Amino acid sequence: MNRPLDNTIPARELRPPADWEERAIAAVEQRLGENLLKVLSGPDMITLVISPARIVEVSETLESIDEETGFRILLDVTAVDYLAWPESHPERFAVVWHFLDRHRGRRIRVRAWVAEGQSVPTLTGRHHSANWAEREVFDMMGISFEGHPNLVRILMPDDYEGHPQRKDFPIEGPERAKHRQGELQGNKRMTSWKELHDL
Amino acid sequence: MGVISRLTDNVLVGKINDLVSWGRKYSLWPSPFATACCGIEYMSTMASRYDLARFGAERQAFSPRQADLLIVIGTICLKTKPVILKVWEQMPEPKWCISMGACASSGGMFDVYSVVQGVDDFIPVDVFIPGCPPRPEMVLHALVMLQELIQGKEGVGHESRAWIRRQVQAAVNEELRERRLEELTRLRNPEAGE
Repeated sequence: MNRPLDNTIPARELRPPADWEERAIAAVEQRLGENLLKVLSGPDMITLVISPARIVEVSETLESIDEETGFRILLDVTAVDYLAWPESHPERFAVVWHFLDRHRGRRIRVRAWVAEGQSVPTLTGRHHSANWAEREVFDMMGISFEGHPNLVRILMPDDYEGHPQRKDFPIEGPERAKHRQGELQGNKRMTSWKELHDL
Repeated sequence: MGVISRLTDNVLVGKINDLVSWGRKYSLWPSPFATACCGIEYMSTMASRYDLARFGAERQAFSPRQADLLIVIGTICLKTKPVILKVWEQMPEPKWCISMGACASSGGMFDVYSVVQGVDDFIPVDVFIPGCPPRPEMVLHALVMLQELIQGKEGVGHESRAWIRRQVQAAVNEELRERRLEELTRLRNPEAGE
């Protein structure tokens, strides 16, 4: 788990150094080598595109990027489904992690391309906040996280079928209703009033 | 002076069902299951300006075991469904249900994967109230319609799901009884090991 936050750092240290982005990229590149696939610059923060299997190492590197501070807070884990654009994206899903350095007020984004059925190492061993966020990604997108202590649905009912934020999930109509009635796998559930009252 | 001639002035003859229904319809104990903004309209309906108590539904029962009218108010998510079903099952018979607002009646604008598309999926609803949210007058109207339904007037509102349920149940019972009777009265052949 994380090192405890050091609250003794004086306020004048709060500004990040001017070349922190280059230093962060260099540190990650030194650790990952070819598994740092690409670096994208954005209007808000830079994005490191990595191989999904190396996310734990990236988290470790970012945490100890400076002598006394680093990206110690995992803000969010989420995922994007690029089903409709297979030609312009290497894989179907992108898993995205956001890290925050509370002491110096800087953020960084890490992205990994994941194919359908491929699993990603969990960050629950390093960040408590990864627990529910990864469960949400699993619930909505169906991406599984290897080593997660309790990878079950967090928002939808346990017996729900399918992953509703996927782009091929039926938006409306009876096809969508099948997912919640459990008709896809043939599960028998006590859902309708008829079944209840005809007993 | 005969007994009959004296009775005609003092005795009212009627069906006991009419009397019981008359008692029931003016003493409904509604249990509001409010989950969304329609609940605010319902509070207004209960309060002094519109005053649901004028129609006999004076006592709001916040415990399902002391209620006979479930009013489902607001958006019902998939995860709320078992809760609402449990509340409904705890209510003693006879019981009725009003679905208040577009969300409770049909899912409303929440035509998404996580919302129940109408509580009549799993509860027999007697009166639906449209609107987003409905005005308090519509709730009062629904209550009056329900009272007429309880009194047994035909052609009130939509066709009652509860009534259909009872008809279906009666048919099923009839068939089960016949099957059981046939099984009991069938002659058995001891040589075949029956």
